[in-house]
Amino acid sequence: MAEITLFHYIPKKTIIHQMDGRLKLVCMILFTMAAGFARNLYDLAILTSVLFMIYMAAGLSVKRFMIELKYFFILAGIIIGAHSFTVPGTAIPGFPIQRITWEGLNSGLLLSWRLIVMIFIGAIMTGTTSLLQFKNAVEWFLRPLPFIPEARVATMFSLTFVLIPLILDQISEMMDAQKSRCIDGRKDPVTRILFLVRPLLFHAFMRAEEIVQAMESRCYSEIRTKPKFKSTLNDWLVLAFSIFICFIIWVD
Amino acid sequence: MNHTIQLRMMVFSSLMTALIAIGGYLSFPIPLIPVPIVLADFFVMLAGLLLGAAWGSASVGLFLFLGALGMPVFAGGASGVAVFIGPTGGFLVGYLFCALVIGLVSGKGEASLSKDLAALLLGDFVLFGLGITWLKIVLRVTWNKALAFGLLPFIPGTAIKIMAAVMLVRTLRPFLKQVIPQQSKLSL
Repeated sequence: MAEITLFHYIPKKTIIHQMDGRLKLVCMILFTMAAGFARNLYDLAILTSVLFMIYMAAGLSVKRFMIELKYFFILAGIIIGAHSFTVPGTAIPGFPIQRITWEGLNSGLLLSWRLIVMIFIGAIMTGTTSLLQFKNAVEWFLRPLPFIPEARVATMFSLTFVLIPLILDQISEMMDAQKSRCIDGRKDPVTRILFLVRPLLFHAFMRAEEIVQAMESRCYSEIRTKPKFKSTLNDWLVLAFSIFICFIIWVD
Repeated sequence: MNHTIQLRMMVFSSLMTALIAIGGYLSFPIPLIPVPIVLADFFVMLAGLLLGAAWGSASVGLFLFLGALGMPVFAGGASGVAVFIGPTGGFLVGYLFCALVIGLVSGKGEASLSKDLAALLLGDFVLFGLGITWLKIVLRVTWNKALAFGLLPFIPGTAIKIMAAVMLVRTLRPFLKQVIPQQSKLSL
């Protein structure tokens, strides 16, 4: 699990990388909404091809995406299989296995494809935006909202991103240690959860305590110099293009 | 309030957010039952128990915010605002109130086993209450069907999680008490 580098930032100098973080964030929200509201396979096909273009424009590796998401593809296969057999409808004529229905195949494909598109969007966003830029963009959008301490939320937002890989590392280390002690042979789920979560939480909280000390010794404060943003014509064009695509999908 | 305490609670609740996001991918099979245990709601319960009502619900709120922005943190890698309107949206909003209720009930006065247990039961009642009601409204099914989809398969898993959470908190609280003073629990 810890080897997943899909959601890591890869520094490059492409249009997508240099785009204004705020506009990119809007694009991401629009695309995930479009994926969520897509009602048929054509919508998802349009969305996937557009995202694929963006992915290629950002110079990210398709091979890596395929390799790292292989478990998701297996999961997608299971979802499609389960839906094909359970959803009632008309059988596919001339297909050797009788009980598979069109409706089931359609709904299974829609569900699993949508999940993969959503992960794809997340991968593009995190792959092309540095955490600092991402955080600043989030902070900028939260600033006009009342009752929300935007600096604190933005810091917590970036801390979460920092902590996820640390926890994943911790989990894979612990799982190896436990496998070598034959704990995965235990059937009792309470014991297994406790054996995993107890050391995980102890280590994670100690790690968090170290981060607190590190932040404190560097004089962390919520009063900071406001980040400067600048957006170019290119950025606005990408945004307009995203709105156009999402509009097509919503209208359809 | 003391600046250090606030910073510490900030980092700790970000940690719980990260754990809730990862918990969606950690699954344990239960013998004889087809639905595996997923740990996302387990960490929601722990957030309420360990961090208290304010910071616990803040970490769940941050988790929902991450998902709404488009990070694939919801179950199976889903994200976006559309998930909130979908059939499982009630459970996601339910997480927030679950952590809040658990924090409020368990955080009052001296911590005790029965209080933790009551808090967890009440929290899960709120979670499933919101989740199943929303499921019924969105899918337009009868109450019986909504209960069969949204509650029955999860009863054994939830019981196991409540047991594990109660046992875990008893060992973690003394550890956390060294770093979190009591008064910081309620004020954000």
